[in-house]
Amino acid sequence: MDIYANFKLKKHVAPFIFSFYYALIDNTFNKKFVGLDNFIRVLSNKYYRLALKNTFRFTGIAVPLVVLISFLLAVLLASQHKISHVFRTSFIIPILIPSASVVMIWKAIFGKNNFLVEALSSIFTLGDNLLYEFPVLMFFLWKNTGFNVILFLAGLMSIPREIYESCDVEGARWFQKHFYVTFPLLLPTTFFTLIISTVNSFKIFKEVYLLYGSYPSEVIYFVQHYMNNHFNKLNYQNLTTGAIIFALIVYIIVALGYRLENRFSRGVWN
Amino acid sequence: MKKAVSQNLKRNLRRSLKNGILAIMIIIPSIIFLFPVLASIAGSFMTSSEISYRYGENAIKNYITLIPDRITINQYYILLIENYRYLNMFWNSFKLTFIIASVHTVVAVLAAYVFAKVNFKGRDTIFFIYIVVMMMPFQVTLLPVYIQARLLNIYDTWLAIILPGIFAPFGVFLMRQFIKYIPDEFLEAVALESNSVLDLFRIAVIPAAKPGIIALMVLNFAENWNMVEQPIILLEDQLKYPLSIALNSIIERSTNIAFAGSVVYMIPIIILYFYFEEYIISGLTSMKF
Repeated sequence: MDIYANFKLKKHVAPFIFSFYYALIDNTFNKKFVGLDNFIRVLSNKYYRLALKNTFRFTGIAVPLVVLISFLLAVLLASQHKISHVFRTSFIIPILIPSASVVMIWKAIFGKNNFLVEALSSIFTLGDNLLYEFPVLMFFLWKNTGFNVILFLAGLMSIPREIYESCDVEGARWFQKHFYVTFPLLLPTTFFTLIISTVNSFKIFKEVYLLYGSYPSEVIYFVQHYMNNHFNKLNYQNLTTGAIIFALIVYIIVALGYRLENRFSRGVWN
Repeated sequence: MKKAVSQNLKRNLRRSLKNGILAIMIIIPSIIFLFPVLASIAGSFMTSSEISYRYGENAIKNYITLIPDRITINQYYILLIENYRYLNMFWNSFKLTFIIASVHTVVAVLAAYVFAKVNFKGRDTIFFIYIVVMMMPFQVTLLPVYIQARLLNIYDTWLAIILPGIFAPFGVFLMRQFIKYIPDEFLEAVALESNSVLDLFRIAVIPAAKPGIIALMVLNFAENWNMVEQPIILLEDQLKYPLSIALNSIIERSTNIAFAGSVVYMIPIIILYFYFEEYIISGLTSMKF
C-alpha cells in the first residue's frame, strides 16, 4: 500500500479523496487519468445495469407496499386503542430481532422443499422472482412495517378527536372519514415513512446476504452485491465508480422526497 | 319500552360485533408478525431428529409447527455446555455491541448538543452531510472505511468495526431531536449556577434527554447486534466474527442446535425491549426531520 505514503499526513481526508481519485484513473499501477471512462464502462456493464434495475425494482415494489400495509395496521390499532399497546409489540419486535436468528425459519417457510411451495410449484411454474425475490420482500415487510406503524400511530394520535366527532355528526362514512381527514393530516408522516422506507430498502442487502450469500439468483442481484463482490476482487475503479453513481441516485431520490415533503408540510429542517 | 330495550341490545350487539371483527383483524397480522419468533422458540424445544425431518435437507414432514412432537431441552444443553464455538461468538457479539452502544451514546450526546445548541458557521451544512451519510447504504462508504482501517493499521481487528460504529451519524441525529427541545433559558440558568461544562450535562442535559439517551442505547444495541456488512469486509480472522455472521455457519454445520442458537441470540434484545419499552417508542417516534 505504498501509494498512500504521500498522503500520510492527511490520513483523515485521504480515504474520501482516494475514493474519488480511484474513479478517475485507469488502474492502480499506471494511475493514468482517464476522466469519465470508468463511469461509461461501469454504466455499460451488464451486471451493474442488472443490479441497478433489480435494486430499484425492489424499492419500487417494497416501499409503497410497506407504507400501505403499515398505514392500514396503524388505523386498525388506533381504532382499538385499548388493546393497541399490547399488539403493537408484535410489530416492533421484528425491528429489533437480529436477522440472522430467523434466517433458518425463513428458509423453511419459503424454501424449495416446503410443502406449500412444493404444492404450488406442482400446479404453476414458479419463476425466480417468486422463489427468491418474494422471501426477501417478505423479510423487508416483516422488518420495516413496525417502525412505520409506530410513526403512523403517533401521527393518528395527534389528530384531535373533535374532528372525527364532527365527522360522525355530519354522517361521514368510514372511508370518507379517513380519505378526507386522516389522509391529508397524515401526509407529512406519509412522506417521512416513504423516505425512510426507501433508505431502508437499500439496506436489505444484509438479509439477502444471510439468505443467499454473495452470489444470489439474478433477480435479487443488487448494487450492494456488485460493490461487495468488486471489493473482494480488489477492483477499486469499478467499486468507487459504482458507489458514486449509486450514492448520487440515492441522494437525488432523498432530496426529491424532501422537496415534496417540504411542499406539503411546513419546515423540515428546523 | 320493550322495543327500546331490544333496539338498544341490537345496537350494542352490532357494536361489539364490529369491535370483535376489528380485534381479529389486528390479532391475525400480529400473529403473522410474531410467527417466525414463535416458530423458533418452538423449534428450540424439538429433538434433533424432529428438526431434521421437519427442516432438514431431506425433510419428510415438511411443515412448520408451533407444537413440537416431543419437548426436550437437549438443544440448550448442547449449545450452552458442549458447543464452545457458539458461546465464544455470542461473547464476541456482546463485547462489540456493548462497547459501540455505550461509547456511541456518549459521543452522540456531546455532538448532538453542539448541533442543537451551539451556533457556528457551517453547522447546518455539516449536519446535512451527517444525514446524507446516514441514509447511504454501507456499501457506498465501504472503500473509504476500508482504506482508513488500513491506514490506521487496525484492519482485521475489532477497532476497525468499533471506531466507525462509535462515530456513526444515527445517534447524533436522534439525540439532536431530543436536545433541541430543551429550553435555552433553562440551559442558561443552569450554566450560570454550575461551574463546569460537565455539571451542565450532569444537571441539565442528561436528565432532560434521558428517554432519548435510553432509546438510543437500545436501538443502537439492536442495530449493532445485527451487524453483517462491516465484519465481512473488515475482519479476516473468523474467530473474531460476531454471532450475526457466525450463526449462519454454525447452523449449517450443526442443525441440531440451530433453533436454540437463534433463540438465545434473540434473548438480550427482547429483554432490553420489554425493560425500556416506553423509551424505545418515544425514540422511534421522535425520528422526524
